[in-house]
Amino acid sequence: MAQRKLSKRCRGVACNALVLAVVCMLGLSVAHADTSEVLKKIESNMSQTTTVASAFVQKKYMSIFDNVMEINGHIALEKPGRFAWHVQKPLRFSMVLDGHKMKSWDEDTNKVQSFSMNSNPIFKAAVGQMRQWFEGEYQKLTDEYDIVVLDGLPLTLKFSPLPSNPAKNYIKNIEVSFRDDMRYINKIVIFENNNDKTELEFLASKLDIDLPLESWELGD
Amino acid sequence: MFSKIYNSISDNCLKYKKNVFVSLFFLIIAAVTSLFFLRLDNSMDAMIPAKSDVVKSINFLREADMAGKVALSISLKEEGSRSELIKISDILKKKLNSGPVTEVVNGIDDINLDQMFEDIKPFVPQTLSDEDFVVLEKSLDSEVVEQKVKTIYKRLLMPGPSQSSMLFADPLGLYTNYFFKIQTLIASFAYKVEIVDGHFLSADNKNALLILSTEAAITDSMASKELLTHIEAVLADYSSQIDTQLVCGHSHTISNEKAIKSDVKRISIVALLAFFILFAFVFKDPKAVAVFILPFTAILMAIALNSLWISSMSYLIIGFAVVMAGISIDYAIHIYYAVQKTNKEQLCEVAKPVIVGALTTMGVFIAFFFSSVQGYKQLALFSIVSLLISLVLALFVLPLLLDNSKFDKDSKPAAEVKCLPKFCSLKIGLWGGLIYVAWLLMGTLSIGSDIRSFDGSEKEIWQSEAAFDQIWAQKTQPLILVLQGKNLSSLIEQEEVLYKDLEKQKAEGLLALSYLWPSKDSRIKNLKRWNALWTAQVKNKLSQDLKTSSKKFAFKNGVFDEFIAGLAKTNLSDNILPTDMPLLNLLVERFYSQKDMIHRLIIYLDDTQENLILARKLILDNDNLFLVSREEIARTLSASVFDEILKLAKWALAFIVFIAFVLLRNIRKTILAMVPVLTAVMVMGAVLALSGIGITAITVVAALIVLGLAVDYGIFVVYHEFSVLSVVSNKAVTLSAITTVIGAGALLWAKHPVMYSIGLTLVSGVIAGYLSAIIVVPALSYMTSKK
Repeated sequence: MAQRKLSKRCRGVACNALVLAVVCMLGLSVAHADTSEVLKKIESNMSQTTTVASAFVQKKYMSIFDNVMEINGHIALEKPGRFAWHVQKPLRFSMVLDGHKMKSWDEDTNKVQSFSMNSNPIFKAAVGQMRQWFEGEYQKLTDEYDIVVLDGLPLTLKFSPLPSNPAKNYIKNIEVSFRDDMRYINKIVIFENNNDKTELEFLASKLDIDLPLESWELGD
Repeated sequence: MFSKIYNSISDNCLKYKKNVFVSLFFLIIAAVTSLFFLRLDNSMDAMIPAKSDVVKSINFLREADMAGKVALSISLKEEGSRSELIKISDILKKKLNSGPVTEVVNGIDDINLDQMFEDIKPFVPQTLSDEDFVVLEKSLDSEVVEQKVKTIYKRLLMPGPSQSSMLFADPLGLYTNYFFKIQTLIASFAYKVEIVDGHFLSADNKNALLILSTEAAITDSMASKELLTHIEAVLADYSSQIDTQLVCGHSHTISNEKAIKSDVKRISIVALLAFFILFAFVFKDPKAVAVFILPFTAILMAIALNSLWISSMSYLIIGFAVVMAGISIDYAIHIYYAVQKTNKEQLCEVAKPVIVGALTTMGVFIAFFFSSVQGYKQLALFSIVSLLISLVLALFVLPLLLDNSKFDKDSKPAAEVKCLPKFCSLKIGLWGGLIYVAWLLMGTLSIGSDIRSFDGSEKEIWQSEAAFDQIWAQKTQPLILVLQGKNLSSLIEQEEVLYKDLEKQKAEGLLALSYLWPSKDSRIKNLKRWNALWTAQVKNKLSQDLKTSSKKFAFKNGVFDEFIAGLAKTNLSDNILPTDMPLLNLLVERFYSQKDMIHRLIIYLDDTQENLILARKLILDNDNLFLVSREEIARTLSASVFDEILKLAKWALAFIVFIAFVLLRNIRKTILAMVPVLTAVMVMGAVLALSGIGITAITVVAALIVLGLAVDYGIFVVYHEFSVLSVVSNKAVTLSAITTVIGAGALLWAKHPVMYSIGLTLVSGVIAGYLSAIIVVPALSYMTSKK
């Protein structure tokens, strides 16, 4: 009698385990399908945005600093390929990317430097990456990153570099949070392998506006 | 004396007619059998003057990095992701790497920049140039140090990850500078590739590149066929998924062989058909077939004989065989008409100019033995042997085969045809005008060669290469200076000196191994200088300056300690070449090669006029240095061809004039006989100028053959003008010109540019020579005899 009870219980446990396994697998495939759908939706919404002007705060949590390094400024983005990064604090610094060409200026030297990113692969790897995030072509990133939708609001995606991605040498993962209308990003957090972290938050973003010419100018 | 000998041989042949035919039969069988053992090659090397610089340059290009390699570009047929492209590239890499393919490279291992930094640092000090040391010493100034630290701080103001480990590992930019130098070297690669996920991709990431290595030499057609068959079989499985462009010398080899083989078949058929029609409608005599067959028999025997002392025969020589057949038929034609129309005594008289005609043509080929072009000598030997055999068969065997029932009958000499004065003047006037116009056109005649004009590859191959270049090729190809020698150490020292010299003279686009890897002596000196620089005092000062600057930018204390500690870690490589140096070991192949105990170091320069001048000056001072550039090869080849033309033309003309004078024994007659030669030369030059082909190593051969033929027409017509032989000569001259034009004209149907250029030269020269012989020579003869 006891043996029959035991085997009945065992069967019950096995059944539950099987159901659980099936549910997990279904869950995974649903999650995979969800991520792909989410990426499509984000890309579709972001592709409607052709220009962006936004203030930003970039915080760097680095082992080389005792305190957090805070950088304030504003960006301008015009698709395809044109991007401006203007820093007001702690030092006035500007950087304008147009295709592979880059110009930079800072108040210290008061000189404009021009170069091609193609001639500096290290620089290209870092800055070029950022432009990808800002322009929103995330489906292409599926070749280079494992992408997961994180729970909670706002919608946040976690990008972990795949083994074949050179970025894995210095990046652990990147979290990208989106506006409610998914037309642009709110925040990017980069976690580096050496435990440094960079948080970039966009404030009061304006989309699809006529960007003034000053957006692309460097210097005083 | 001549008659005695000739008649004696003829009589003996007649007496032993049966033996003659049996011997001929067995000789033909032997000749045909030998064809099955004949090795043929389609290399154009034999047609290039053996001047050392051209041969060196071409051999270098052949042995150079890419010469024995196959470049394969793939792209997805349908819109797909980069990862799909990379996946197929990896699959093909595995599948192609078998059989005749010894290695397939489709990228380089993923680069870990941080690790690479650490690996490179100990090696960098020995590679620093004097300029680098000057910059380094200046950067130790406190203000400069502060600027460097500020630059690091500014870098942190940019968007994105910090990559702080690399920033703080190299505040003075010592090792980063080395990276940039390597970057510059990589940019000098023949192909513009991007390394994406460790794979060679095009800038738009839509194409992937695979480089296949093989031991199949590009001159070996069997091995080339095996190689391409293997590659095509693998690619066939993916033909629905990918488009491919294949670039290799092997496909040119096979295509050229295919073109030449098909041309030889085609022109043989055209020639045979034309000859058959000619003989069927002109001779209307079945026995005239002998006139047609004997020269081809002679060619067969000549090929067989040549194969006894030449291991392989060029396809070009076989192509020339059709031309030789057209020339050799002339002798048989003259003898045929002589047998039909004259008696035995007059046959002997015809034999004289026939023999002289053969000697003048042979004389041109004898001149070829003075050339440095191996192919000319091969052609000369073949041609002389075939002409001799043709002559013997025409003089002694042909009469045995023909109907000589009328042979002993007397024939009446035809009445001389006199030119009316005004027609003679008009003819001479028109001729003069033609010569003048031709002279003007010859002003645009080019001499020399683009090596590609020897290449008869199919259109599809050139198109595929153009499509490949569109994606992968750098905009301009550099000038290449090659330093070669048996001792590598002294070669590297010499290269270092040359590099510094070129650097001082601001040579543009200068790249060499010395740029990053000096000679061992220099490296030892550099390391001593490095160690001498980093005294405890200097290190302490730098450390202090870095700490002071760090405070200003809120960096933690000690962020640069690792950098300071790393300054003491150095490695002196014992290797002559940087084979143990990270990253640089990947680039060695681009700057160094070795074959047969000869080492070669390669220096690259932008292909500019100024650099060319600099390079030529250096070559004068360095015996073991030579320049490789398409333009330079063309220029040198042009000069070489010009030298050959002068040499050969001098000897050929000397022979022709001498032999003509020996026969004609009169200066006026000799000059008259040269009129067709002059006309032929001028018209050929004009035609080659108009067609854009110009004078090349190949058209020179054809032009010189035309000289030999044109003088024959001149000799026969002059002979006719001044002797009793009238009707026989004119018809025979006309028919022999037609047969030569048929033989040469068949080449106008050839696809291979070399064959076509031979045909064009011969046809234009022979027609001009013939027409001037029968129209202008009699007019000039009449006008000059009147005076």
